Amino acid sequence: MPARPWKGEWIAMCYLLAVFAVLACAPLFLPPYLKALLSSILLWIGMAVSWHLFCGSTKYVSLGSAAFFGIGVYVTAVFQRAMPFPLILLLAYAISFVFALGVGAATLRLKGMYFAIFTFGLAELLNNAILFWEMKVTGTRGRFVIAMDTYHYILIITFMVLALTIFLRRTKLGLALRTIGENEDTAAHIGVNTTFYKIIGFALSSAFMGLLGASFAPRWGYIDSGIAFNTLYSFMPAIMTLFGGMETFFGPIIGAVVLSFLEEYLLTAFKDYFMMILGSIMIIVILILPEGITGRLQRILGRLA
Amino acid sequence: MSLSFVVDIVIGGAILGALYSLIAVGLNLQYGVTRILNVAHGDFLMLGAYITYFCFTLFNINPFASLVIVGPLMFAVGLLIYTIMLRRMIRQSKSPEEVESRSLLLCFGLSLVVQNLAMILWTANYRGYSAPSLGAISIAGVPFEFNRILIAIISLIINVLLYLYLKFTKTGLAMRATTDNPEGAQIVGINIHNAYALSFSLSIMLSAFAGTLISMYSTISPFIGLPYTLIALVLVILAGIGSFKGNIVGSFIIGYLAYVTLRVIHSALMLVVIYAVLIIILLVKPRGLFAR
Repeated sequence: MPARPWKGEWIAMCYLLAVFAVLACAPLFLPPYLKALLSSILLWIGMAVSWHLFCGSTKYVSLGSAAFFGIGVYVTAVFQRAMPFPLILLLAYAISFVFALGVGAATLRLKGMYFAIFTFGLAELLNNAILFWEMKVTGTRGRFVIAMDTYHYILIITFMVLALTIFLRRTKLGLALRTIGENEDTAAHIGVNTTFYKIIGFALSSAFMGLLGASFAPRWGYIDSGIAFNTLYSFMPAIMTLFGGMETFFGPIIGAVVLSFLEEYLLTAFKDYFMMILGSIMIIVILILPEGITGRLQRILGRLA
Repeated sequence: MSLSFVVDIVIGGAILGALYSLIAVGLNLQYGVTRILNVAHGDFLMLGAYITYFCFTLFNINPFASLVIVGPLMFAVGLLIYTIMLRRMIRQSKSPEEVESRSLLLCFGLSLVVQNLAMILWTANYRGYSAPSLGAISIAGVPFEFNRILIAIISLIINVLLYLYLKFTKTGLAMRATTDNPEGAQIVGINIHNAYALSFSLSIMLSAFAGTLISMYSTISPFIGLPYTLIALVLVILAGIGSFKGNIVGSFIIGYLAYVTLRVIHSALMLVVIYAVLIIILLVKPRGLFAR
């Protein structure tokens, strides 16, 4: 049990619920284009905050978000005709969770580069494996998805991740993850079961990515493994979090909002240069703005005060 | 199982293994010295392949001869990237772990830039050329191009040259010392930032060499790098840092596994095989086959 009551967290939850209520009603007043844009932004916030949940606190860098997102997309595509949508979401959550447990168990017992390397090719691995399966076994290429409006599902999931982040900070799990990020040897030394917490933290964060993938899939009428496991979904959560700032709650949110708008603009204005510009931003952020926007702001404000 | 099938597997796998050893040896050296997790390694292989392609199609330069052009050019590219980006990043970082995680993200960005720049310049289409053939020999009914055998031999020669260079020159010694103990190396008067720059540029150059050789028998596109990056990274773990013996043995293991998969099942499953190897190493011997 925490030493003080969860007062701050509940206040934060009240703000969060207020924002949630506004966003839940927003589609009533928005034209379809803005609604689609808003659900993209919410998706990216969800992805970035999920990424930050594990990678931000432990400082273990995952380049495999697209693998879990893609699992979610495929779960929807395969089971959409067989069961109601909430059940699909539950299934996507469970499968991503178990898959992440496996990945974590293989790589997170060890320190260092193993986790990064393993996650780096993970999306491509699943992409190839599904491609092979479709080629040899089912003889198909991709799948059709029944289009439906999932705005509110994405909204709820993203806010679940946000609420989890708020409360996780002071639970044993959140504390353990942050201690690992500060100094893993010390954490192990004072009796934190680092492997266990790393694996659970990673599975929790990845399962939400699967959930978001499953809820976003009906936006496309047709999906194939290339769409589902696109590198973009591995890259964006990382760059959004870094851009916004690793150390704060608002970092990934601000990063996601800014870069979603940028994505929207670049995709319409400079489609061919889109990925190259994103890559350049990543390089520039690491070299010039290593603490992110929120970190830099905090420092400037701190100097003024 | 026929004799020709066995011969095909034995020689084909060996050729692939030799090539993999060339792809991984540079990354092994570079990671050992600098701790930069270069996930753009395979993209420089792609650049090497494109340079060779254009040398051949525009100026009719023999692909083997284009190694002489690819080498200095890509060494310079490596030096440029190191000087502009990585030196700054390393100086900002407080610990080797921080170098690892920040370089990982930086190189991920770099990889996207290189791939998409190549796509803008040269389109996403697959390209190939037919390299001038030196003829073929037939072993048990299986024809083998001399070119492909030469590719394997050149890969192994470059490995040996690098080994001799690290073993018997002063700069080689400096790089090995930096791998073992950066602080100690600095105390005895080694400029470790020179060692960093040199090993990074060498690694880019060796990767590009592999690209030259690959372009001779395979079609190329801006996005061929990723599987090779992954093979190289897995080989670094499998071999253990600084182990030439581990690199050669590991390369042949993965080369054979990949070739058998390619021949017997399908090329789409090659990554599955590599991941299987990776999982086995992580469970059994995470510090590599020949870790010191």
